[in-house]
Amino acid sequence: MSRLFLSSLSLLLTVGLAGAQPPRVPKNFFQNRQALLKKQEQAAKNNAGVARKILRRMLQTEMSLAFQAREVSVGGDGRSTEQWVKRDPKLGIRRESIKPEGILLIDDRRRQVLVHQKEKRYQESKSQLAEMQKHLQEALRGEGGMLVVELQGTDTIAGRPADVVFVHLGPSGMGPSRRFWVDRETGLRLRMEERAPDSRILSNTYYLSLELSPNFKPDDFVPPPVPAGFRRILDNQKRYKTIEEAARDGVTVRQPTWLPLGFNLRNIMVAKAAHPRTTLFWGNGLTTLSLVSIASPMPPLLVRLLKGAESGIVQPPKGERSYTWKTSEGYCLLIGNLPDDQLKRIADSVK
Amino acid sequence: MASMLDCKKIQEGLSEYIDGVLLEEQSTATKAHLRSCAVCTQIADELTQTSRLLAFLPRPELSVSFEQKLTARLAGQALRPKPITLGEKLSAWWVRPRVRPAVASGLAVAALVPVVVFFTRPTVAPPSTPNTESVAANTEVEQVMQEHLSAKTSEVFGDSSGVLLTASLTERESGS
Repeated sequence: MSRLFLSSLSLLLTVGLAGAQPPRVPKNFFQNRQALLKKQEQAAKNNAGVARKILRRMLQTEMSLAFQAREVSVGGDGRSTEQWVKRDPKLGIRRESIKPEGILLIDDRRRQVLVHQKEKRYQESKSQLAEMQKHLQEALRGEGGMLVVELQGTDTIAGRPADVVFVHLGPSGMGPSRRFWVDRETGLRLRMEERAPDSRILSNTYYLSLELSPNFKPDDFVPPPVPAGFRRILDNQKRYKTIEEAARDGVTVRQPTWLPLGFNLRNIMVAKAAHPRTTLFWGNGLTTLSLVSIASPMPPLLVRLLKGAESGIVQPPKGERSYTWKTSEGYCLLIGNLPDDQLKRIADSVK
Repeated sequence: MASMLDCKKIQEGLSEYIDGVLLEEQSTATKAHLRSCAVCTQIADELTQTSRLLAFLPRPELSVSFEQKLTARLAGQALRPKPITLGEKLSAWWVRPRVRPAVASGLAVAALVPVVVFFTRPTVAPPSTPNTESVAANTEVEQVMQEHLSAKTSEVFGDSSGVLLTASLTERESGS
């Protein structure tokens, strides 16, 4: 009985399947898929567009808004500093350390002064704000170069809604990245994170308090006079805009024949100190690459870090990752937050 | 912006909050703050993880004879004669006769030596030792790094907090 039932069932199934058709692909399946991809592409473009708008607003706000903030910076090693940041669009910027005490940095748009109480150091250099203003104009004109920006979502910093924008060099350009938490209301950066190419956090900076349009003291942005007994370090370096300009002045410059995309020469600095040195600075809007050629033997610190080798990657305690090597005149140091293999490739191409 | 002022205060009490020893009022305030602050939440998460890891560590057990040994050691120390200090030896020597005039003449001669040396020393500066040279060369690396970080602040998406972070390294390394 059951055998008869199973046979009839299998017969019915065979007949049924014979008549069955393979599932049909809807007529407009491929068109729909293409439309979906296009939509995704458009969404990514819109995302980048919104992210760029947020960053543009952030940069404009920082250059136009007067504020005072209590800021914390945490380094990659977990050490932290706390400082007061005062910024006035016309007068400049003042950073005064709270933890540890005794470090003051004032940039009054003409010069930058760093006063270090413990080291009794008074260091003067060229204003970086003026230089930044120039780069900012380039960025606002859309000459950002190779930087990729993405809106990653929203977050809340101390109860304030903020847009999270990720700035990096794209999947092909392995390199450093920064993430900004931009205040929706004011457009100010409430938090910023800098990462190394291997995703290690290099620094994390955020505000503990923020006051808009505060009443600054009249001398807040005036560099103080050199305190008695302090070592005054003057910026007596000569700067050139181009390699040709330096060459006309008789300066021979070592330079690489290969650099990652997006890096532009910012300037060349020549220091005629006891050990003459020439430094080339490149920037890509996000980070800086420095190539220093020094006419003196390699210092013991670098020799020790190289462990007897003639060249290699070093990480000095007070600085960024570098590649160093001995030359016929002395040594070279290539400093930058880039992957080790890229640092080596740049160094190998230096002529 | 008033709530932004709270972060530091909240972070100071996070460890107690995780251990559950905060007063109820403070604990509620911390909980509310953590709901809205990503930075403090991250720190709280890290502290919780550390706390969990510590809980896995074995607890040291005291040996049965620990108390007996400690009592015996303390008793031994109390009974041992007190050693004579250097100060006591010197004061005993100072009260001996003829010591004071001899020391006074010695000090007078010692005070004259630097004066004589100052007026008779050669005018040529002594050559710098290899040690001071190496310190200067190491400072050169620091200066180069400072210049690099300073240049970095002029990039559009850079910031000057890095300069301060590096400038403060010396102080923090020396333990202040």
